[in-house]
Amino acid sequence: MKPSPHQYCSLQEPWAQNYLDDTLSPGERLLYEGHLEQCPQCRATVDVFRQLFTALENEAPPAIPPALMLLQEQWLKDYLKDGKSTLTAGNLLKLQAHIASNTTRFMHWLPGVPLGTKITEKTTRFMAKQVKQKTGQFFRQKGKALLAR
Amino acid sequence: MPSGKVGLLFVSMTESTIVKKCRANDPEGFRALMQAYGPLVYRTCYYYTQSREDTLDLMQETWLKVFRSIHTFDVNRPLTPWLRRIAANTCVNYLRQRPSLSLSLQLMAAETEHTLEDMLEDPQQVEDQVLLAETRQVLHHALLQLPEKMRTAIHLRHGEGFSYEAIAREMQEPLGTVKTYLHRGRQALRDSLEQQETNMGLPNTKKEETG
Repeated sequence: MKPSPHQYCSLQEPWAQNYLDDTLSPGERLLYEGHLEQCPQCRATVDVFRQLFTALENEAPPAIPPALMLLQEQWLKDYLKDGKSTLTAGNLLKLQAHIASNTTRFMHWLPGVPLGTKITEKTTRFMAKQVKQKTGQFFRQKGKALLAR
Repeated sequence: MPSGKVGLLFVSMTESTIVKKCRANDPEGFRALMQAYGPLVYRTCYYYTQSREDTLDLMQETWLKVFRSIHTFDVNRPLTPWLRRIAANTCVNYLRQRPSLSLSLQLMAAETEHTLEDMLEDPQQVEDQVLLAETRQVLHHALLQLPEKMRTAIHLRHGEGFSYEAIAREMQEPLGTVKTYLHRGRQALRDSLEQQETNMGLPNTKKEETG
C-alpha cells in the first residue's frame, strides 16, 4: 500500500492536479478517467490531491466584521496622531524610569524586601541619569541642526 | 441615505487618485484606500492566519506599512497585487516566528476537545473534522515555507478562487509559469503532508481509551 504512486505508472504529475483543477481538454479528461479506472496508483494520487485542495480552501469565506470600517478609522487616527513618532529614545527612557520608580515605591510598601529595594533604587538612579544625558544630547543635536539651517 | 452617498464617493475615486492623495499624506486618501481595499486585505490576512484576532492585528500592521511606503509604489503597476503582497508578507513574517507546529497542534487539540455527547452522536464525523482541521494546520504551516511566488499562486487559486488566467494577470507572469508555480507548490505541500503523517503515525495512541 505504501509505495510511491508513480512507481508503476507512466503517468506523471500534474495529471491529477489538472484533472481536479478542471484544466484538461475534454479528450484528455475522457482518457484520464478511463485510466483512473484501471490504475490504483493514480486513483490514490487523485484522492490525496483532492484532500489537499479541500484543505487549502477556506472553511467558509471569512465574514468581514461589520465593525471593520470603524476599526480602520481608529487605526488611521492612531497613525495620523503618532505618525511623527513620539517614541524617541528619550521618551522611552523616561517611561522606563517612571516604571522603575513606581516599582521602588511598591517595594518599599512591601514588608521585608531589603535586597529588592536596593536593586530597584539603583535602577531608578541609573535611569534618571540616562534620561538626563540622553535628553541633553538630543536637544544639543536638535539645536545644532537648527543652527545649521 | 447619507451613508450610501459616502460609500459612492469613495468608489468613484479612481485608484490613481487614491494613490496620489495618499502620497500627499492626505487622510482622505488613506481613508478611501482602506474603504476600497479593507476587505481584500482582511481576506488575505485571514487566509494565512486562519484566526480573526491575528487577522485584525496583522491588518493594522499592514496598513501602517502601506501608509509609510506608498511613496515607493510604482504608479504604473496595479495596486491590488502590491497590497496583497504586503499583507501576505506581514502575516508570513509574523507566523514564522511563532512557536512550532507541534505545539500549535496540541493547543488546537485542546481547543477542539469534544464533549462526550458529541462523540456519541457521530464519532466518525467528529474524527473526520479533527483530521481535516489537522490537515489544514499542517498545510498552512507548510505554505509559509514555500517561496513567495508559489505561495501567492496557491493563495489566489484556492483562497480567492482565481482562474489560471486571472492569476497570470494579477502576478504579471506568463500562464505557463503560473501553472508551474501551482504544480510545484502543491507537490511540495503534498510531500510535507505525507511527512507529517509518518511523523504523527507513531505516537497517536489516544484512540485506545474510548472505553
